[in-house]
Amino acid sequence: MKEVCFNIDGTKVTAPEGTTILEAAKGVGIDIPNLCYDSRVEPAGTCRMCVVQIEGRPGLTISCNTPVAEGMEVCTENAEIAAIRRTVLELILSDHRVACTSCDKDGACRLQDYAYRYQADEGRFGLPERRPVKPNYATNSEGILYDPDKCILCGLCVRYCEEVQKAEALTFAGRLGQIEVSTAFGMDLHESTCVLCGGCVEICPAGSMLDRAAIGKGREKDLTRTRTTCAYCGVGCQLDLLTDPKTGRIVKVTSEVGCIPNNGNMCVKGKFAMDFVGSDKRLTTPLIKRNGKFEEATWEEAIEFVAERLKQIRSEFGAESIAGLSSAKCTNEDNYVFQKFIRACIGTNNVDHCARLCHASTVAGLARAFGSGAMTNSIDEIKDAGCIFIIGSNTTEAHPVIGLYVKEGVMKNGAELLVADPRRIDLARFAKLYIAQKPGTDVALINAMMNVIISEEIYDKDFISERTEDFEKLKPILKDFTPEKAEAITTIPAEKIRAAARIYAKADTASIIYSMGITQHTTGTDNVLSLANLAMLTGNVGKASAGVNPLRGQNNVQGACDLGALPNVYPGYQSVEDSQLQTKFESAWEQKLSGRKGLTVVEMMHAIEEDKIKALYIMGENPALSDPNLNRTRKSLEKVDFLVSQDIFLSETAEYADVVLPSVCFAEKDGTFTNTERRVQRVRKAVTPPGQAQSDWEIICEVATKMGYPMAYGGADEIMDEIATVTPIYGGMSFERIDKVGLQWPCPDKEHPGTRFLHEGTFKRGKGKFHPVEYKNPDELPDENYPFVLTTGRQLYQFHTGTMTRKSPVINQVSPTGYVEIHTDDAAGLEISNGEKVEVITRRGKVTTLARVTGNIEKGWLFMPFHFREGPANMLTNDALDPTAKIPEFKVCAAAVNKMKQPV
Amino acid sequence: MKEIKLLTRRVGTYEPPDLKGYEAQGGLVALKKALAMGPESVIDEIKRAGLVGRGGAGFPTGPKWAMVAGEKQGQKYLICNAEEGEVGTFKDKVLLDGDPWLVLEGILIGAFAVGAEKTYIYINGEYDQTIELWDRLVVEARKAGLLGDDILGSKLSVDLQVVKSKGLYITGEELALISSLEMRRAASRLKPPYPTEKGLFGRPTVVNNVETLANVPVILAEGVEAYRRLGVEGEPGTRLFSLSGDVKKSGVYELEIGSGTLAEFIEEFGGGTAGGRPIKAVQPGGGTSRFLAGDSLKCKLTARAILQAGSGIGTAGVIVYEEGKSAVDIVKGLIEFYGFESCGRCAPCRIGVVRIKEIIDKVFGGEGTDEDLEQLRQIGKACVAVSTCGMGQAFPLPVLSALELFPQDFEAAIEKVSA
Amino acid sequence: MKTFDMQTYQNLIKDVGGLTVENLFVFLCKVQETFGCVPNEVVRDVAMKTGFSEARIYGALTSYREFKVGRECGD
Repeated sequence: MKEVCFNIDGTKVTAPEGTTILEAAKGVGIDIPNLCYDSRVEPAGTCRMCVVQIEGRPGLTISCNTPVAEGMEVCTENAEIAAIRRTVLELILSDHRVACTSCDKDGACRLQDYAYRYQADEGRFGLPERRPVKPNYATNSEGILYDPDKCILCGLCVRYCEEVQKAEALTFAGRLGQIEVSTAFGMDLHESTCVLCGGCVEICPAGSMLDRAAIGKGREKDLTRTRTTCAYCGVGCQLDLLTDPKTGRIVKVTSEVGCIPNNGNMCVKGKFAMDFVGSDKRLTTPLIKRNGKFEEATWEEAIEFVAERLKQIRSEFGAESIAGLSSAKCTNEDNYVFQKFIRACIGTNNVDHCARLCHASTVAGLARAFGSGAMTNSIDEIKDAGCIFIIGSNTTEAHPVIGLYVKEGVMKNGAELLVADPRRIDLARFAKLYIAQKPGTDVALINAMMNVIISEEIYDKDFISERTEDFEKLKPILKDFTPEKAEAITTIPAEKIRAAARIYAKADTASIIYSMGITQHTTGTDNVLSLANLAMLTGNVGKASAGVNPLRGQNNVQGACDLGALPNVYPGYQSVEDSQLQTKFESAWEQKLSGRKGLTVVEMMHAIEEDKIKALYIMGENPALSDPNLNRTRKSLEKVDFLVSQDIFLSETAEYADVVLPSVCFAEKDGTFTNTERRVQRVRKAVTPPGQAQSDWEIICEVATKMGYPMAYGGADEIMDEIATVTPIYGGMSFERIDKVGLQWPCPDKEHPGTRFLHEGTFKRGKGKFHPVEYKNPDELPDENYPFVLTTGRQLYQFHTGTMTRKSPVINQVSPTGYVEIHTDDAAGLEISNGEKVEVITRRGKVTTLARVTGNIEKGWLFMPFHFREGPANMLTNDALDPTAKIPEFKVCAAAVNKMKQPV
Repeated sequence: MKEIKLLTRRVGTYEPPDLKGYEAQGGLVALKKALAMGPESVIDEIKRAGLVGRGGAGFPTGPKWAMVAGEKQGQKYLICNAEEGEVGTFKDKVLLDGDPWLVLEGILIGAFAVGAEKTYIYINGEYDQTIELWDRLVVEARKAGLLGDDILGSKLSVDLQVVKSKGLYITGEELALISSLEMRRAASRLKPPYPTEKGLFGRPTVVNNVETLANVPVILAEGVEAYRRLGVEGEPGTRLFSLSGDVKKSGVYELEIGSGTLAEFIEEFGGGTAGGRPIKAVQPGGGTSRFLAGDSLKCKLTARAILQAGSGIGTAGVIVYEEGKSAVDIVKGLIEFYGFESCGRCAPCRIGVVRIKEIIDKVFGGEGTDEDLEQLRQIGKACVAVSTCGMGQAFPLPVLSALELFPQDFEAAIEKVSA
Repeated sequence: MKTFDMQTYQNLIKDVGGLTVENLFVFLCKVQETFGCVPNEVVRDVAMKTGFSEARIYGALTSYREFKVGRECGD
């Protein structure tokens, strides 16, 4: 980009063409006052505070909307400007209820700061009349408070809602004298299109919008600010936890504009769902089950008990009879220590975690095709892609902040968005083309798209010949896979498949984004291989903004995989079956290791049925709600001889446990998470743990030591240092280096800057490999008795099994319970009305839930979120596995739905 | 000084929407010429004629058209601004009612020149009969092949939507007008981008005043040379002046630009002041223009001369105030109106207009102080200096100029208290 | 002035030759003239048909004196 040279207050400055004067000034440390500017929204120039004098131009010019020009001479303040600013401030103050004495914003308020800077007299033009107290759109909101008496009508909240979040919930309403921020018709915020991201509260410069729950709990200057990484999804938003040093509780959550990867944006969970941290339901002491009842125990008793039982089982049935579930919610350090404990102390590779249930097929598929099973690109590259192809990812609900980048790409940068999803997800609003494939038919869709791309010769021949192998094997399979053939399978009209293929193939850079809609199938690995084929066919790998991007679901599912919480690999995806690597780890860990790969999550459950697994150590997971075919899972949990649950709550799983160990949550510990873009980021302790709860790695170390394998670290940073020595992709990581913005792996040494996108120049495995994939039906198809296709997934407001989110009153207000989505026509046929109680039945179980009648799902299909213990969707789901990745088919099963018989 | 009927020559000679009456007097000649010339030549002619907008801002029309014509792809719009909400301004109504075909011909030529297929005329909601007439005119025009596809057998397609405005002063401001049509709040917005780049629905858009567009067929029909023979250097043509206030005879008069002085105009066409008293002050450019008084009234009726005299030609709405009335009363009357018309979008105007109204009420009510006058000056100055749009930048001008020209009136109002 | 009914409303849509973003303002003026207000269900319907948000249309309507909407409409 061209640089222009100009002058601000006598200082020579250069900035890229198009930079505004205000931004350029900021860059050289000059704060031009403003009350309506934010780098994330278009300038609106409503406050008129940022005026400057430009040499040779008559009058004053606002700096937020004026680009710098070559040779421009800018004066940001002189006596005239200062006087005008003061008058404008005094006008604003005459219309703003100055209540700094009792305002939460006191000390962090731009209006207050400028009033002070310009010594503006709040009473100069009279004090505003108080408006009559009447309810407004936020009066009944659990999350947000709006005080129109303090509102300065800068419009930042409305613009954020419209331009960044694109929820379009807020507007100005009324005429001069009565203008207020409102929702449509002034309806309650939680009933509007608001997604409760809290962006309006964050962006408000004058204390008019506030966190309702935080009011009176401390001004920002009274609170301690701790930068950490969000504990919900895999985006890895940087959050600032504001805690009261007196009570040790989190008062509110904010985020800083400019931080990576979320640029100050948050979603409802990061912003409003931290209540779980201080919940009185937290576990505070170890529990041992005696005579079917939990009794409190000391740590010594509990550790002793666990160690003894594990030793006993190991000596009786062998190490292979013990298995451990590590956790994608825990830190990298916790995961490293846990798998080391299972491998080195117990002596088995039976360690896995919930990645098995979400992205096992990604790891398997992308590793085969490219050599590395992670997101190829960085989050902020998405917005610059020419085409964004979203398939099987409800991005705005499951990864809301990545959803913002997608919207930005489309709305600001003209990206062409292609959405393929059985449900008309919110992003379909922004799509150039939306197509609804029948659940489980992704391979047919992708094969047909490739058929079109090849027959229309819009593929990248150079890329294929230089960078890939086995293209010849792909061709025959695609030859007959016409869009017409795919139409019969997917129900997508052939013409739309053609259009989709052209949009994708013709883009300069095309980025595929997918998630569990692709992976959670018996054909999950096939689905992933198909996407890899598509990307390689068009040369869309190995460059910025073009690639294959699986979005990871849990905050640290990437890290848990990276650190070897998998049965077949040591940390850094180093195979346990490779004897050289085995030797390397044996010497590092000073212990003989097993060279046999271990069992996966669902296999462990099945092995319990067969008496092969006798003890199960679960750290921070909740299979009693998260695993498929719950009746079967729960039987296993009941059957297993010895079950340890190490958790922050007495979860559904913990109830089956023999011992429950209280651990600390993300806000109470130091460590790192690795987000979906492979960025290792810091987790920092902000509050003191409840009761006797301890860090997961500390607990594990104590158990291991008690079992005769001494493990001890001085802190999480020491663990990271050990990780770096045995894990090549983390070789350059250290707490010091990742302190500010984190580092993206691969980062092999201390000098390496980290990797923004993978496979540049060459694939990890050398050449990219095409895998011909035949279409296969899902394991279970609808029939007479089970005529619907049931698919499951997440919703915005909840996370996983709801253990954390459902502690939040803000969340409970908008998402009180589960439901099943059913098409309007199907509902009419079954005489089911919206909100009515229905039962959903599959071969595996039956649950009662509420019907949500909608046009957003196709006829014959049902959708259920899986977060709710009342009406748990996983009672219904199929535990048939993908043969390669062993991931169960959460996304497709055959179901029936019935109207509940009315009680007489 | 005498009237010159260039734009208004057909007014009263036929019964709109009768098209024959219009055609019989040389109507549609310009449109046919334009179609034959091609868009670029039309724009060149308008540029050569030196036509500037008659809506208040005085932007040159030809260059404005050229900017929109420069965008070759996609939808473009032309909007005829017939809001005419400015105080003391009612000249567009004369054309809209008396010779609507002339305005429509201007719209069609404009649409042809810039390549806009969709046009709007946004008419003041209080002009009920005008709107009715235009609804009928559109029907007639469709019948006559002047709207729709293949206009006059050419490839030109233009559609016109008649919009009745909703009685807000601010929608006369072009960006607020556009927002209104976009179903956004009736409020101005930031520029750049200008409507010519991103106007209606984000597309290049021409917004022209009624009188501006009425000039277009005249220029093409009479020829640029003939047109430029009228007026003065830099300001060719005629202008429609609305005359109102304390005069014997209000009305709209078409005058050659620069043909006489403001004082002569008031005397000859208004028949002098209503009460026969001397003129105290005049607003030459509508209700938001600065007052002129004394020798300044001898300025010529050109934009430049009026500017030099200390005011602006604005909408050419001449409002006369005779001696006997306090300047406080006069500005109170004006602010009564403007005080409710801020769109509320930018802070100084939204709050400033209300504070100014409050202070003037206070001074008028005999409770003012010197500090109040100082506040009027400060708020007024700030609004003029930093407001977003013409409304915010202009509404304090009469207040500020009254304070400068008639300080004794304000002091008298204040002293009433102290006495 | 009539009380709101669907048939009259549908006829108004026909009168303007179908609802588009380009004639939405004019159309809602007609709704206002016909029914004396713009009922919430009309706002919802036109929002759905034009893709503009309900908030935008509602907020816009409240900026005019002459449009009656929401509570002023009895909704």
